[in-house]
Amino acid sequence: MSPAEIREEILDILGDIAPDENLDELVDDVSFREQMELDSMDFLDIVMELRKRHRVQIPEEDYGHLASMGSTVSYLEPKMRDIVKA
Amino acid sequence: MTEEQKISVEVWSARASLNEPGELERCCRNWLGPGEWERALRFRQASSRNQHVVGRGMARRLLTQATLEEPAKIVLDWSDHGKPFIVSPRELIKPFNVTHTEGMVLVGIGNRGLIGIDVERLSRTPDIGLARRFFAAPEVDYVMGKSDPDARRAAFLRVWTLKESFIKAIGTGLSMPLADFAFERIDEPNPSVRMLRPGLAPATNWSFLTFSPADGYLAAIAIGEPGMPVEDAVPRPAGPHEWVLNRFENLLAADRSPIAPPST
Repeated sequence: MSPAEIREEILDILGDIAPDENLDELVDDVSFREQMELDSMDFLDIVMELRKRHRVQIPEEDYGHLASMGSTVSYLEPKMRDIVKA
Repeated sequence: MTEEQKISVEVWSARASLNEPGELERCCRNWLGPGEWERALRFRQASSRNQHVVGRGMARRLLTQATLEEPAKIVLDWSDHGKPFIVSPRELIKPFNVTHTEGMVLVGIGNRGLIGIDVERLSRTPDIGLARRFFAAPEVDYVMGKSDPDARRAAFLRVWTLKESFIKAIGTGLSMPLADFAFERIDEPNPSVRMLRPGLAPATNWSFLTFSPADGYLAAIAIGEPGMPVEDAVPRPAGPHEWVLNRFENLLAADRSPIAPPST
């Protein structure tokens, strides 16, 4: 997956978790939690969904990399670059 | 345990508006610190924005209660994992924690020790698979042992609020693996925690309380007493520390009411 495709995938997961949010205006370098009502449970939903969909394992010590869209895409890019978008 | 050793905690609740800001939100907005209203505007959902404003404003108002300090002038900061603390004035430094969910904000303030608090809507429908993936084995058994789906969901939320209150009190956030500690006696008002990995939260004695701040909500508070290893702690009955639940709206009403004339 390219960084743009990873971003689309994250948006898709966020859309399922927070269906009422307008994700079109999400600012990539501002943390998710400062823009939308995303709590710890939602955050673990994202981690679990990445594992279910793409077998991507994210250890707890790396959770800090998933603070914003920009940092999430940067963190996932090496883990997902060999995954072909369905 | 003597009276002076007790940790006393005040928990304050407020019903944040789901839609347009009301009187509560307007008051709390006036108490925000520099830049906090601008940050609140980043939330596009009114409900999220209201929770943010009420959480911040209410904490500031309560932390300066019975002082001459203006709520907006107290300097707050947040740890890397989001735990708030008072920077100045130093004489007001005390442990506090804030939690919110749709329509409900709670602020817990202690006289000392470590405080963590979490609230959830009972109508929330979490993915129970989160329990299998992230909870400790005895907690998974507790949740999955409920045959009725509603009871299983309630059990999940009960464990979740306890775990959240704990990681918020120690300030690690989710970087602390949730399976490294397990709650026991979960159905009781004062559950206990067992560390499953050596070295976790050393020399701290923990007390927990599960309660409902209003119909439809479940909350938990963690109270940590540093310097007292669990194995050395004096066994205590349920509810080792003093705590009280107050409605913040009552405080606002008292603020607005005129001072009564002296009786003659």
